[in-house]
Amino acid sequence: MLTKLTGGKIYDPAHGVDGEIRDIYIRDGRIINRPLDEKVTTEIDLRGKIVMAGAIDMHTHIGGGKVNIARTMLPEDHAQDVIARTELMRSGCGHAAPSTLTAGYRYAEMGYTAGFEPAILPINARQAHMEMHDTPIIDKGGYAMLGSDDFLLRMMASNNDQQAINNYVAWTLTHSQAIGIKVVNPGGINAFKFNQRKLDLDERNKFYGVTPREILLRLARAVKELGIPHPLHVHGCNLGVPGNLNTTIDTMEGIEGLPMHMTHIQFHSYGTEGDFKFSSGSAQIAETINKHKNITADVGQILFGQTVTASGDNMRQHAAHPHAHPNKWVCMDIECDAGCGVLPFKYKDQSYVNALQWMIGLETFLMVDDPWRVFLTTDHPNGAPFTSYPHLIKLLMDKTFRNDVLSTLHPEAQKASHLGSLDREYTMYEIAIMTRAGAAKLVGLADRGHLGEGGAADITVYTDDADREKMFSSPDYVFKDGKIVVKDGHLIDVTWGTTHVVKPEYDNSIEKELKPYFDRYHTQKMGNFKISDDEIVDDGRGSLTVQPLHKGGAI
Amino acid sequence: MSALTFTLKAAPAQRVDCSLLTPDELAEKSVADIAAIELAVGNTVERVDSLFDISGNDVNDIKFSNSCDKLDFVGRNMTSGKITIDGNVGAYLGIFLEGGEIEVNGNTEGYTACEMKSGQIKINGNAGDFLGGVRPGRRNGMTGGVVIVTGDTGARTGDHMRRGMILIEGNAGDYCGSRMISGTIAVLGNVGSHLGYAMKRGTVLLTKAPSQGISANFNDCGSHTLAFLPLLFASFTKLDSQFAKVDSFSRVQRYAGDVGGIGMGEILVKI
Repeated sequence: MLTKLTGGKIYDPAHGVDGEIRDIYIRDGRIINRPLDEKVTTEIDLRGKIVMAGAIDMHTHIGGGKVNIARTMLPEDHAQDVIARTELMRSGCGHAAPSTLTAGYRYAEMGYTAGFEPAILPINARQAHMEMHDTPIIDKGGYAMLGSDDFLLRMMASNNDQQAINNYVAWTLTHSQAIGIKVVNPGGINAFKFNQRKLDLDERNKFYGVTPREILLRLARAVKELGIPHPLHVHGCNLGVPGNLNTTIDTMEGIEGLPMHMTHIQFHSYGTEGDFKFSSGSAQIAETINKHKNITADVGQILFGQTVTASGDNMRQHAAHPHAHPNKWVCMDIECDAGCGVLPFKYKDQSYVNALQWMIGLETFLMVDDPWRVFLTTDHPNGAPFTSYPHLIKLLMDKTFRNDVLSTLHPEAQKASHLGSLDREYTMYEIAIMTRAGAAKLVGLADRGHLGEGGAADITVYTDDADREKMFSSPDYVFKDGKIVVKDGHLIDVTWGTTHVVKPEYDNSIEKELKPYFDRYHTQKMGNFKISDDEIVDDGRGSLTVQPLHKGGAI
Repeated sequence: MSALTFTLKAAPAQRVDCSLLTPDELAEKSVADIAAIELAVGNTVERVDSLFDISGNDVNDIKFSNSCDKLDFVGRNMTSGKITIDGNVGAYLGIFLEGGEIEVNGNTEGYTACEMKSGQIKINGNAGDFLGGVRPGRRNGMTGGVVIVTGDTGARTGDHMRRGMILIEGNAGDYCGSRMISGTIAVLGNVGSHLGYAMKRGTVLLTKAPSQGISANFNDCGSHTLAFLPLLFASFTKLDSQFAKVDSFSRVQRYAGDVGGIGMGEILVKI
């Protein structure tokens, strides 16, 4: 079986290909160089079409306990968006928190072929993996959440050496089948349990005496030393607090040059200027990102409408609960590991704060110079559901459209932002970097996000259209591992993607300490906590892909 | 013009979604069009004329005869006109009702008048659970209009009720007025246990003291002469109900609760 995609205009930033006309050959789900003697079985004419690798969403809440809470709490989200079953697809529902199957179908129909759940609580990892296992077509993976778990804080409080922490991080990553490490409000979720309602970067946890800065440094170092490709994924302190931009800059500068990914940075870029005591800090944030090459960021753009915010950051979610719309919310503690908060939210274009949030996100996109270090997300579903990505791409690629939308927003917010004066328009190549090549590099996917030899044949084909929203919401073809899954914007086949993980090496003696800890404090035994490979691959539908590590070693 | 009448041919085995058979949905439609409408029946669909014999043509005056408790969502989202049902009817009768009138000569199932906004529903029989209530997970139940029940109601009458009146000539079930946000429930008969459970605001008016007493979560505020009661009874006089004939009174014992929450609801008992 040899498939030839003929004459498409290729955007493959991983290989520096910017809109060249080329043919692509696919055999056994992989992209290969042009074979000399083999006969082409299927040829697909892509002349005049735009070809990119399948898009990768490197931060999307598609599985795990908090998404399920959101689903349970929002029957209205389901009732308003019901999808009947077809011969091909199962039924589903949900706009902001869609059911697993629907999420997979919708991603594929937008040309996305991978999505990464950024907050897998190790103790709940099984639930998250089972949900992702039920998300069809796209590849998936997750970042294990550490930083507010008692075991780490104990280790830090008793001043354990870095090697012990590395072992614990690697052990957790391995047994929760994750590809990266995430920190949410470092130490803050734990401090919340000791009745602290805020925790600044250098503020001590009342009980453990550990500061968020120390947690970040320890974990970022562990990630680097273990050779985990994905930098420490950080949801910083003081999310949503006016004036948090200083904390955010401090966080980025204070990481001592270690690789770090700042997630949904829009929510961490607020100043306190102006009559409303709420202003845009995106210029300073973008400047700091531009200056520090070890920092990457995704934006977490908000878009107007009803959605739901689901976060591990129970401290900030608790503080935000008066803004819940509709008025219902959940905040919970999850074993010794962390917590979560879920509250529905409606972003309104005539609200000063929401309008400015929208502008801050776009300003960040436009002012960070290097598209390899900024990523397109809405922090689904926290800023907006992922289905709004094509709209967001249009905002980035079309200045006139952006300014038209801008002119309809809260007038005071318009005055407080210089978004209207930013002329940058993202090019097709830059969009391909942000959503494909850059994202794959960031997550550590060696065989995805590019169209070179040996890459997985995850390919999206679009018809060039001046209306970028229309173009990106309805691809002509989507290939997943060489199979056509979407044709003319509609799903025609349902396949099952793989789960990407990394397997760093570590010293298993850490279990000597962990076993009694689990016995004493957890509701499950250590043996049950571990997710074996079989659990993911056993039914023949799921599979594991172990991605290569970077060179690690002590710093 | 005579009333458009749907006579049920035989009791269906599965539940039928009748939400398409309202004056709003049928406006401008010919009888042939109406006959061809497909209704969801269990997990399949059936044409209206295979379920019902159709006669008459006035879409603003719809009758269901030989009805049974499998007919759900009758009068859903209706804004005007009248629906009369002879026989029992299923769940969600008058859900999201915005205007017009529904009269049932029989009993209803659960969630009658669920999240109703305006209009009137009269049930000459008994109503099921969650009368005037709210769909699970939602915040506001009935937000306006009048519901009259000549018989008894099931549990959780007026759950999360926001505004409007529920008048019960018979007995109310357990948890009457539960999670009530505001509005009025009046009962001529007895009430079940847990009256006003988690009630926030609103009024439950009783003509006789509950046999099991008032919950400990309600504080006895003593006896009062409330001037609004005669006005309330005066407003009943235009209704086709026993309430129109009740002798007006203004002297009541007042209980405030549920003090487990904000405690601004009241139970008024005639003395």
